[in-house]
Amino acid sequence: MVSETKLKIAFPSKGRLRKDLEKLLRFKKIEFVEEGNERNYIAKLANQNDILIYFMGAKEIVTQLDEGNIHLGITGDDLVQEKILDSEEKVTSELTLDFGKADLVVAVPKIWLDVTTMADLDEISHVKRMNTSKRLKVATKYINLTNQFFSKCGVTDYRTVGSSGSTESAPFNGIADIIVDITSTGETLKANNLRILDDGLILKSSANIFKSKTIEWTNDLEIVSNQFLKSIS
Amino acid sequence: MSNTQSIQDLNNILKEFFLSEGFKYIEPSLVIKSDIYFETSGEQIRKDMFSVVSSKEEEMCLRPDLTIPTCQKFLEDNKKFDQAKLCYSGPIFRSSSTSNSIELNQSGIEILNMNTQNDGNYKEEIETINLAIRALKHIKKDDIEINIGNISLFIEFLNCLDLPERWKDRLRRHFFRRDYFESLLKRIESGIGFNEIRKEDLLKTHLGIDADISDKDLNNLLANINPIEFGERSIEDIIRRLNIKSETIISTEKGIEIAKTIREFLKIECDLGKLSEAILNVTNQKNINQFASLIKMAFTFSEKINQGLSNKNINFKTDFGHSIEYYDGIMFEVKDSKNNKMITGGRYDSLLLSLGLNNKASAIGFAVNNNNI
Repeated sequence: MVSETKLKIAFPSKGRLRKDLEKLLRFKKIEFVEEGNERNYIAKLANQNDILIYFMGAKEIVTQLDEGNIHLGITGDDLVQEKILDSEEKVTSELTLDFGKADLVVAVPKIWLDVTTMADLDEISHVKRMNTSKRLKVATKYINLTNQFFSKCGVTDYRTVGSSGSTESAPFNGIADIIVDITSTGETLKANNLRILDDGLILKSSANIFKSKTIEWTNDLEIVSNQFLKSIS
Repeated sequence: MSNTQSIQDLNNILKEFFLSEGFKYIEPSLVIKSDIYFETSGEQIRKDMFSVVSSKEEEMCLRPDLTIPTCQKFLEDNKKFDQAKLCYSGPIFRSSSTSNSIELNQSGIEILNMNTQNDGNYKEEIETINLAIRALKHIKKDDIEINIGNISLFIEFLNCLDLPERWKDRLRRHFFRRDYFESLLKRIESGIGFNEIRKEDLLKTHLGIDADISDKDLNNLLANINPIEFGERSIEDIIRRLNIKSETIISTEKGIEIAKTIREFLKIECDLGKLSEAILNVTNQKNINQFASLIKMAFTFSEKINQGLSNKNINFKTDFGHSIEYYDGIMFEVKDSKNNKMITGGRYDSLLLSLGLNNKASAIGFAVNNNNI
């Protein structure tokens, strides 16, 4: 059983986020030692016995922060804002990291030359519903952030369509009319004949070190946490 | 006596009062499909609602108001769509409730399908507001303040403006979303429509062609593109909207002037009897003929309502509205001396169409907020 006196930090277990984090740790001369065999997703920081590192998926880190099972977690703020509805009450961002950068955007088929703003989207979706009783379909993995943004922009005649695979192909295989998705350079969207709306930026996201407000914090854990944050910043 | 008991007593007193006024008592469903609320009020109402997804994957909610469930029951029970004067009492559920409880209580009336043609006499409006005043008098609430708005006047005002139709439609549809409405005014201030540079940029970037291409050539060019890339939209629709955006340009200077006029109009707050005078004050610096129809409409409205209402202490606000956007004519509220909103109501003819009625029918009503009494 893990001692409650140790600071529990979740690191991303795979992909670009893990590689970028390892690069940062090397640069800061912070070493971690994996415990047990390679299937074991626990590690310790070298020369630091008060910290336990858990490796898990970026989405799982958000869940564990929300449920108060870890003290700190490194993940994208797009996931935190999407998955935790009252995120400001559950977590705080302690440090914004210089990687994992991506924009959550609204993109339409590039050939829709007349649609350049969210107001255009409001207009064509309203006309579509009036004429056909159908709503504009939006493919996305970010249903909550999409609803919040569309609501702010006055667009109501739409329905979100959950997307688990390559969202950018949804407009061209009949699944949806437009998409809301994450993009780093915009190249994938361009390659799929999609165009970002002029005012279609929902969120500028990057990796952050988040602190859970729902786990118990002792003074000692706060000290260890501050030392870790200082060492990595 | 407990608060629950006193609200129950109030329910019974108002129910008896409405029955004595010739209304039929009904009990609308507590749980209804959420979709109608999203359609009329947008996704933002979701945060106020308590909803679940049924096993048939339909989103159902605890009713956040009683007007929509009442209309739905009217349409279900009344296949011939006869005229109806209905009353109800019961709980509604809203998470944004300012009281300690998420369960609020309302008693109200709806007058449905009594007058399919608006004859300009505002007879139903007068009858409804007078009934609201009598209901409050019945429960010994005499010290009241009445606030009135009328979305029809705003729509007529928009009709008088030199704005592209699609922008008038936008401002009308988003009148109830104040933040977004303000962002639309800011966009008008920065100019409307594609200027040549923007159009050229779009055509060059995405099609590699010049902006002065004819509709026919553009149509031919687009026709050669794989139809799958258009999604469900047609080439004709895209070209039509592209042309509308390119042809209906409002300059920054003109946009600033139009947005200023709209803001000035929405600041009007006066005694109902002085409404046309107040509108004249806002519009008399412009071309008087441009706003003639609005002034005539405002004069008739204020005169008829003032003559018909038993209480003459009525404030009119052009900006007055409700958070639920199905109102499409007069909107009113009655407050007590401590600013508690005791009654809200208004006309909502188009709601019955949204709920599936084929013919246009009149609909007007109000609800007493029993928790505020």
